[in-house]
Amino acid sequence: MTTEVQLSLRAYAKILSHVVQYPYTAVNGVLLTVANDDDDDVEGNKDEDRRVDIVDAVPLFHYNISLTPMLTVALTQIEEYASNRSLKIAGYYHANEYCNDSEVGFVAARIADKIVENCDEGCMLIVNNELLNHL
Amino acid sequence: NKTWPEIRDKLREWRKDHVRCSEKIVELGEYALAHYSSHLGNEKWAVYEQLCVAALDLCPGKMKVVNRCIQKLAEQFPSSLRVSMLEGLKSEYLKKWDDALEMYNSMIEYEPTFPAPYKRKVSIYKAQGKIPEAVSELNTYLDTFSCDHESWLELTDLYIGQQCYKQALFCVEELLLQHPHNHLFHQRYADILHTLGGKENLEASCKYYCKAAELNSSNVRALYGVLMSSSTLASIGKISAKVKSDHQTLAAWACDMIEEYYKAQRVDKSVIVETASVLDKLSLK
Repeated sequence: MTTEVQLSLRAYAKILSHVVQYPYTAVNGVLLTVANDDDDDVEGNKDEDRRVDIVDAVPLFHYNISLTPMLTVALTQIEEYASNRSLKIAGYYHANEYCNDSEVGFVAARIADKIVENCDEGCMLIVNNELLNHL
Repeated sequence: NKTWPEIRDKLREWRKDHVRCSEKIVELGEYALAHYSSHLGNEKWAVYEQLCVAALDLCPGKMKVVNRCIQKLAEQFPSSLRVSMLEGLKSEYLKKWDDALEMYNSMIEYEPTFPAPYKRKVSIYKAQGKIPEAVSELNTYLDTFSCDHESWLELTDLYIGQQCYKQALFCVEELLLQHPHNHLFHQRYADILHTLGGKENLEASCKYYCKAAELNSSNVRALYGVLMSSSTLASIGKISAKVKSDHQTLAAWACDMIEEYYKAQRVDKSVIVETASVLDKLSLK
């Protein structure tokens, strides 16, 4: 089973805007998808290829991103925001601090694990910093 | 479309506050040097330096500007340490790390009280991904220049990035000693304590969040911090009814302060409703 992740223009633009606004530091945020009524039927679809449409992105931090208390507050706020708009958290995006570093670092992996453990199908996006030079 | 005094004052403001708006600095700096060189007088050398650093930020497109600035400054100030710094920065941009390090080391040997080359060495190690070396170099620097609060902040960030929270706490303690009325440092200290976790750290973090909120009642993160730490403390371990009640009262106070803050911002009603729900969840009700 493979999962294809489709990023909407809105989500893509917000992620890049966040990165470009704080080019000298790491940034991260949460990805949202539409919450469907048939989400409870996940068990039955486990063997099929799935597609996740990321419709929006919520920027989180651009400073000291591995500190947990404000991350907890932010995730609670985003869950509330999402559930009132038929959305749900579907993943996490992260851009590293250094322009030649597009690896999944320890911090990114840890935060992604925490966010994704409450999703049915979570994904993590890492911004390819080297491609930013083309902007 | 700016007048000469506006241009001059803007460039001065950016120099004073170390603002890194490189595109604007290059635009205004080049214009000022081209059209108002005589008005600038001796200030033009500071503008050349400012323009050079900003142009390096926009390289490779602005390398000619960088070279012109360095040349002008070198002619005016031969064997100047500040001009050598610019040459070092240019080597850093070109990723000629060894050349830059050699330049900075010789500057340190020549003038050990000039702080800039020490900090550039830290930046080089960061750029190379050599974080332990950067930390070591920054510690050596702070042994001598212990009042440099920006460097303590930088070291805090490096430690936090490596999850060395105890060492990060030590750095913030230095900041708190030097700036005891800065609410952001109290909040940062509390954030790190809370991240470490455990009953004693949570109790301490609650105190520091309270101090941050006392110093600045608009620090909403500090208020959320009070709420989270006191709610958690009210629900963990064996505590007496009085202690539990005290924690719950504090949590309730924080909720009220946060709600008042949002209402004072005149946000949409739906935001107030959502916030109330978020506060309930964070209060572990």
